Amino acid sequence: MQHKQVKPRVWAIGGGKGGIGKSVISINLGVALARKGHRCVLVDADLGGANLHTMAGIPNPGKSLRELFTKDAGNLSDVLIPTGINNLGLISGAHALLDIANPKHLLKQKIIRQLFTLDADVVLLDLSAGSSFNVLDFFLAAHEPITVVVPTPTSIENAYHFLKAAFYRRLKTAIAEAEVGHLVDQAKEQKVALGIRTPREFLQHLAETSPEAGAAVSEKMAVFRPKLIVNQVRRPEEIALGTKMSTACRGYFGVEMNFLGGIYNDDKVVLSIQTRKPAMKAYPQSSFANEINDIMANLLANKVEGGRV
Amino acid sequence: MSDPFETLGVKPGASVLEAERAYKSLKELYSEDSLATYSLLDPEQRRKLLDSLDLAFSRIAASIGQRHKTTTAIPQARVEPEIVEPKIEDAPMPDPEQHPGAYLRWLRQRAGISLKDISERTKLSVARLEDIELERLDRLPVPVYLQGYIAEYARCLKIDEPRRLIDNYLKQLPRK
Ligand SMILES: Nc1ncnc2c1ncn2[C@@H]1O[C@H](COP(=O)(O)OP(=O)(O)OP(=O)(O)O)[C@@H](O)[C@H]1O
Ligand SMILES: [Mg+2]
Repeated sequence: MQHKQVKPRVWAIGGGKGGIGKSVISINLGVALARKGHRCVLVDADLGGANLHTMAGIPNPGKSLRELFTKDAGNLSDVLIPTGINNLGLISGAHALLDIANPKHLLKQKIIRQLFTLDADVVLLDLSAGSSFNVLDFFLAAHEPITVVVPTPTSIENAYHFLKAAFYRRLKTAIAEAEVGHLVDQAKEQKVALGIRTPREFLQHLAETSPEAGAAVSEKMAVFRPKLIVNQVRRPEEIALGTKMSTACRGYFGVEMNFLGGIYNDDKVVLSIQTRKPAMKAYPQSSFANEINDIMANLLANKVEGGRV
Repeated sequence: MSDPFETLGVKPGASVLEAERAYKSLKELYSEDSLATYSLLDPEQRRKLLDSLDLAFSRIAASIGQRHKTTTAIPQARVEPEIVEPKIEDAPMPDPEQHPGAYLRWLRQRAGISLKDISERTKLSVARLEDIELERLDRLPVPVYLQGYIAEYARCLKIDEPRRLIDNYLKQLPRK
């Protein structure tokens, strides 16, 4: 059956730290979307540590991103496989070796471009841990760049490190695109003398000293709207971390970071990984499923243009 | 200089109490032991952010009296009888320089307005207002809040230059 091809929305799940639930959230959001009738393609962009196929109960995916890297030819859509769940496809990262975990720049750009041409309503990227350029470029390209944090000091620290790295990478492109590099250099020189401490102050200063450059850069930065999920919540008061971090990001970066919702720590998640059946599918009525559904609804409600190809 | 309302993340023209609520929660957010920010900021950034909050709040607090200078005062003479307060219409005017609190009380009583009325208007508790009037210095909040409270109170009494009164009041406070 042929349906009208629409441009998909691209959501990316990152967070800097390993083991915080990026993959758990990706697969369950994917199932949630599919259950609601949204056609979704999961992309396991965690090259070198791919495991979405296992979580989805597909022991041997057959095709994976690996083909694209080793053959250096072909399209993303060629390696799309079904998951056995209606409306949900998977582009696996299985068997992608560590040396291709850092794809060549051109190949990476090509893959990023093709993400936006996949035949789906939502393309959901499961990113790897860390803040390398490869992770950041996928994160920044997405319409919805989503950061996952768990309420521990180490995860929060990594999340901020990740957000800072993403912010500065975006800022660098914004400055280049606005062709205001020289003015920015001037502002940078005055930074120390003026006691400018945060990115937000820096942008304010740029806007005051070179209004045009400031406006051009701010306009480009305005599309950078990361989102936040707090996972593995154990006590209700830990949910507040979401709003707090979002307020702190506004104060520090001058960037709006919407808090999408919290997910409680739930043994069903661990069990569902052991049985290789997404919790969203095995326990669709659970509070875990409700939390995932709420986050999905928040993301679907947002149609503001972000990201870029 | 950035807009103090924006710094506190409240709507322009928010009341001093809204501003105070935002100010308190941001102070907590940026405090040294805050899990949500301790890995975001270095000590210098933290100090600067905290300073900018103090500045923003004191600017809002101090401007409230100015902004509302021309608004109408509380409708006079409520019918309900005052139980606690004796009429002291003939009492001499206290010196606003020496006793700004007593001066506020004197003005209020002359206008026939109860503490409860002021409390409803300003959303400050009667006990808090009484502390201000009676200059119970040990019970008063830190100056940044206090000046906002006095500004709100003065505004209800249509005092023209609340700044002066606020300054007089702050002079009464023991030095740190
Ligand atoms: N909400 C939750 N409740 C209970 N356990 C959870 C929850 N979220 C994650 N976990 C546990 O954390 C483990 C790691 O999750 P996941 O593999 O999704 O992390 P990740 O961020 O993708 O890690 P990596 O960076 O290594 O890919 C899971 O195997 C599961 O045991
Ligand atoms: Mg993972």
